[in-house]
This record gives sequence, C-alpha cells and structure tokens, in this order.
Amino acid sequence: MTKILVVDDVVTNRALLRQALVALNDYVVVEAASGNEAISQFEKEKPDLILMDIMMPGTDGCQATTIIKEKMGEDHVPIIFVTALSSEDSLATALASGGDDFISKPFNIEVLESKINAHLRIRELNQQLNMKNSMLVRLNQHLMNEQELIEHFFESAIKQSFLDDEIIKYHMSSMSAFNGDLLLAERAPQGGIYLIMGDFSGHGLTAAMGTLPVAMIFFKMVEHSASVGSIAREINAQLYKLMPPNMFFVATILEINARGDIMSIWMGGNPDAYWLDKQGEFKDVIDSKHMPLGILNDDEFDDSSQVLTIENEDKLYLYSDGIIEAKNTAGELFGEQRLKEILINGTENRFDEVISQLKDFTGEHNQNDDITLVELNCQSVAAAKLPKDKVIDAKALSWKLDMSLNADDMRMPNPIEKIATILNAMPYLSRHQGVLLILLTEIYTNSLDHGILNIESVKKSDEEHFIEYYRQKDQALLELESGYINFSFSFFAGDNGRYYLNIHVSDSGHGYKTGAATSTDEMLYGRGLSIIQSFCEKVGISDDGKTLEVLYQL
Amino acid sequence: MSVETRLSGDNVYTISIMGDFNFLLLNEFRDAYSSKDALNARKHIVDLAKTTTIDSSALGMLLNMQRHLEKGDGEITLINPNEVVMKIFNITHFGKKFSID
Repeated sequence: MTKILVVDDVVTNRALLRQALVALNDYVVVEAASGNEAISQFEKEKPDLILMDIMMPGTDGCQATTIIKEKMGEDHVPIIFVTALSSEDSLATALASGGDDFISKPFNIEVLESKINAHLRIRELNQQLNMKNSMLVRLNQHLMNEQELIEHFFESAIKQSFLDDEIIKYHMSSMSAFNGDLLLAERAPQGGIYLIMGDFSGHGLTAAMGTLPVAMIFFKMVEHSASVGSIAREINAQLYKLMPPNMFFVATILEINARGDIMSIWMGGNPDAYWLDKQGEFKDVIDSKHMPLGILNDDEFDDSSQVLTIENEDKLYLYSDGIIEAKNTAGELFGEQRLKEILINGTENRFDEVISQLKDFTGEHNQNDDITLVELNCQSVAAAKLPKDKVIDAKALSWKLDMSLNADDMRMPNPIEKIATILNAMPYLSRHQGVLLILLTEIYTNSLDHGILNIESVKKSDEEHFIEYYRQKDQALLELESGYINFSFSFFAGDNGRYYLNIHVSDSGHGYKTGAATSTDEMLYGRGLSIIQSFCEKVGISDDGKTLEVLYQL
Repeated sequence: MSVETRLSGDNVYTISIMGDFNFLLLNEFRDAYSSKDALNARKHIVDLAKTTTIDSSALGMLLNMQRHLEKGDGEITLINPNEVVMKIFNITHFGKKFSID
C-alpha cells in the first residue's frame, strides 16, 4: 500500500487532502501538523510521498524538506509542496530547499492525481535502479575477489622465476596474467639458464589458468635439467589434455648451457627472434619451427630444437605478436619492418628504443599493452644456490659400487655408457646424467689412452697427428691382451646437507707424468683434466697417475 | 555480414570471412560450421580472400571447426590468405592441420 504523508498546520487542509487522496486511490494517509512533526513522522511512518505545506509556524516546510531529504539518503521520497505562494521567486526558493515539485492551492484534483502518479513512478524507477546498483556492486566485488585470487595463484606460480636484469630485460603488461602472457626463467642445477616466453590464445580467466600448469612443468623440468624439447613435449601433452581445442600456447623455450656458449631453442608460433652479437651486429633470425603448444597430440608432436653456438654477450630479442600487431590511431600496424629496423640498425639501447617507438606510434592514450618484449644477454650463468627448504632426504642410504673393465670390455664401443646407465638408476644421480657421462668419459679416456695403452697425449696437440693418434689407439686396443680399469663409486651425504659421489679409478697401466698433463692448454689430455676439474669439488691424482679420485657434488 | 556461407552443386561448403577474423566473429563462425549443410558437405573450404587480419582466437576457432566436423589434418582447406594472414599460418605452422592454398 502506498503511504502519503500530509503536512499542514491547518487541520481542515489536512482533512481535505486526506479525503481527496482516499477517494483517488485508497492511499494510506498519515498526517503531521508542523515541520518538526513532519520529520518525526517521516522517520516513523516511512511514507512513499510527502505533500508539504510551506508556510508553517516554527520549522517551515522548506526547512523540514531540507532535513528530510538529508535523512532519506539513497532512497528517493518525492516531496510536493502544496502552496498558496504564487511568486516565482518564493517557489524557486522552495524547490531549492530540496522539494521535487509543487501544486498551487486551491488544488485541482486531476492535477494532484497526475503529479502524485508521476512522482510515484519516479520513486519506483529509483528503487529499481538502487536495487540493480547494489547488485552490480556485489557482482563487482565478487569479480575483484576472483581477480585477486587469480593474481595470487599466478604470483605464487611464477615467484620462483629468475629474472635477473643483468641477463634478462623484459617488458610485460601489468595485467599479463589476464592476457595469458607468461615469461619465466630459472637457473639450471649445474649452471646455465632456461627461459620460457609465450602467450595463450584468449584472455581472462581461461588464459590465466593455462599459465599454472606451464609454470609448474617448467620449474620441475628445469630442476631435472631436461632438454628444451622434452619440456616442450611435456607442456604440450598437458595443455592438449587440459585445454579446450581452441586454446593453445604460443611459446619459445630456450636453454643456455653453463659455459654460455650453446643455446638450444624450441619455438612454436612466436614471430622471428633476432640474434645480434656483442657489438650489435646482426647475426641471424631464429624462426618458429613448430605449431603452438596444446594443439598436436603427443604422437604428432615434434620436440626437435635448434642448437646454436653463441658468444658471450650475444643478444637475443624475443617478442609476442602484440608488438607487430599494435595499431596507431589510423588503424595502421606497427609491423615487422619497423621492429626489424630498430633491432638491426639501432644503436646503443635497442630495447628501450623499441618500447619508446611503440609508445609514440600507438599514442599514449592507446593502452593496448598486450605485448611482451625480452632482451636476453647471453652469458654463462652460475648454478643456483640450493634453497634452504630442500632438506636432506633422510631415507637416502649411502652406498658403494665397484665395477671393473677388462681388455675385452675396453674393446667394446662405449663401455662408459653402460656404466652411466647403471648409475642413472640410482637415486639423486639421474638428474646429473649428462654431466656424469661427460665426467666418466674423460676419466676413462684418460686411464685408457695414457695409462693402459700408453699413448702420449702430447701427440694429439698437433692436428696433423690427430688421425694418426686414433689409428694408433685402435691398433693398441686390438693388441691389448690384458689389463683392467677399476671404478669405485661411493655415494654419501655431506655435513652440509648435500649429496656427493666419490669416484675412484685405478688402472693396470704404466702411469704417466702428471706434471706434463697441465704444462700446456693445447694438449687435449690437459683439456680433459680441466673439464674434470671444472665439474668436481676435488680431483686427486696419485700412484704415478695410475689412480684418479674425484669428488662430485650432486 | 562478416561471415558468408555457400554450398556449391558438388556439395562443397565454403565459409567466407570478410574483414578482421577475430573473437568478434566467434558466434557467427560457429553457426557457419555447425549448420546442417556444413555437417553434410563433402568438402569444406574457408575462403580468406576478403580477410584482412587474423588473430589467435580465430586460429582457435579454426581448430574448433576441425574438431567439430571431425575432420583429419589437411581435410579442411584454407584458401586465398593475404600476405599478413599467410605469415601467421607460417609462423604457427598451421599447414600441419589445414591445407592452405
């Protein structure tokens, strides 16, 4: 029921209005005989509309209106003045106090009816609007909460990222999570660095969700020194399984080895990367060889990567297609040519140059910030320090393993690979398989060539004698009647919480002069030993070179 | 209309895209490839002669089409891409999934 408050100090006027209102539409009518009473009745009765006399003793109609309007807040209760005033000035003053309309006394019943109806409609619209507004506020709050949640997940997933500004300069949108853009980097356990840069098709929650499995797989596999191809394969398989068919992840995954001289790169769907040397001379473009991740099933997937020989402080520029596709106000594309121009012919600071030219091109008002640009400063990167939370696994037992190769074993192709395969099956060793294979090969070659077969390493220093050296080696191996190389591996935990592998090797050979080994870097044998030294904590040669003992930290 | 469809006498179903091929065409394009004519057609062609640009969501829509029609790799043909669109097909190696003419 619609309730109307009638305010008038004259009782007959109130009675007259009440009678008219009841006759009109059976309104519920409440009354007030003064301004102050109007205020208290408004609070008590909560009317839908107020008919207000202006001239009243004490608080008059205008003052009461101002106070009541203040009290109603967001709720709109129309106030119509019922007045004998006729001067336009005094009516203007009355309306300025907050009233919505007026009707002159003596009033015409039809005018009264239509004004009341019109103002009640406004009140109703206002109520609907308020309701929708509060719904929107709630909805917005809900969305904000979800956004915060996504940001939280995203940040936890990528906080591990090693984005050292000496090595990686990057520009990304602050809303990158919601654009589905991703840039992660991490140091490999034995040194070197891995990087993944990419963007998901689509925007918002779905795109952001995809970044989570990618980050998890990336960090996990980097920890195991996996190849970029196998990281790509694993991410592809997971995304293929998880995501709808129209969603995919355009990505570049690369690895620079610990020495900083080899880069492996897998590119799926990213535009050409530019490769420059230390002086800024253009070297090459590296192009995408694959479809984006998440489209092909595992059988169709191609994990082959490109392997490049790089030099210290070579620069690699990676970017998302957002840069090429950025538009200016005329709808023109920034385009590949413009980017190429800056990267190839640019001067000192190409990275900042691209960003500033892009800003000039699109104009400051154009906040189309859906771009990623990365400058990678190629160099050797030291191994990450072991995080404190990687506490030692109390269940890992110490062990010892002895193996012996006889003359027949030495004639087999690659006996060391067989030993390495056995070691790979041991806990904590498999992730070091690459380094261990190199290490064992060097140790074995050393014992075989210079101990057992007694070929002098110095001969290898001369390139002309290189082939001759291997001919001699084959001959000596063939003629070898007896001999042994004994390997003794022991695995144990150090006091510092790290695991170690001690390798003790002794052979039946004649030994060699240890001094000669390090006398010149030109000697390949010397190089072999320096490789061993670079990987190991301790290297000891004893017994005239017949025994070699190294300690490798896992 | 930014998406037009045509069924030829020999039961070849052609979808033509005008202007920018992007997420704004999501519903129109889906309607085009899920129509009865599309399901019964012998061969499917997406004509990009009048397509100016293509974005990643459009690539996703093409993959959806392939999945929806249960077509194998290379069975759907994309024809007449302009230089910009062709560049994107090359970078993303879409030739693995679609025949491109």
